[in-house]
Amino acid sequence: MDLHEIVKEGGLKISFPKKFRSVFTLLRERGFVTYEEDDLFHAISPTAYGITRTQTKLPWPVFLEFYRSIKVQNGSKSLEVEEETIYLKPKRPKKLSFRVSVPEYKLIRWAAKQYLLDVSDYIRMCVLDDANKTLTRARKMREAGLA
Amino acid sequence: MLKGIKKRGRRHIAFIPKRPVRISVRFSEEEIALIKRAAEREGLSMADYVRNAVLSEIFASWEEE
Repeated sequence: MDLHEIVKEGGLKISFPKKFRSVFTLLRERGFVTYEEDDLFHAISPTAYGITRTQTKLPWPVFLEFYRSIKVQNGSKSLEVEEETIYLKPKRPKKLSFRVSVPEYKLIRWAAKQYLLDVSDYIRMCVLDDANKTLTRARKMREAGLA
Repeated sequence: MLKGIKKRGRRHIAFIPKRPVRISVRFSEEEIALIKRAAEREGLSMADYVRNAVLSEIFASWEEE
């Protein structure tokens, strides 16, 4: 399984001018699907993510300019000024339901509170983290010829 | 008192609680594709995979403490 296979032409896509090369390098190193086209860089991700100013190594006014220049498809962008972080979130049109017992629900609510998240965000974080680990492990086993 | 059922496997007995609470979470199509692949890999339904992932994370963080 490759990230390219999953995102194909969908996914959360951002485009920004080529003068922000440090951001392009950062996203490529994180394993995003990236490519260049005319005077723009493009990056596609299947999930939400954040970019902090320190990661981009840009001074604050340039980071702000970068934020304004981002064009987002299939999602939205937001800027947390105090955290100096840009958050990118995909549109989430699909609903996934599952059943739990009352004590399980209380546990989940308690755990989400520890992370200062609501229940949905906490579940999303756990599940996507677990899925990424499972698929990365599967890829490594395949590459090593073990599966 | 907790209510549930017991289920006999070939080498184990599973105790499954009643699950009256329904939780719905929104995902993007690509996130769903990612979860579906991982669930298939583990041989689980998507609902079971999501439940296991969340509860395992909670128990793992307890063990770390």
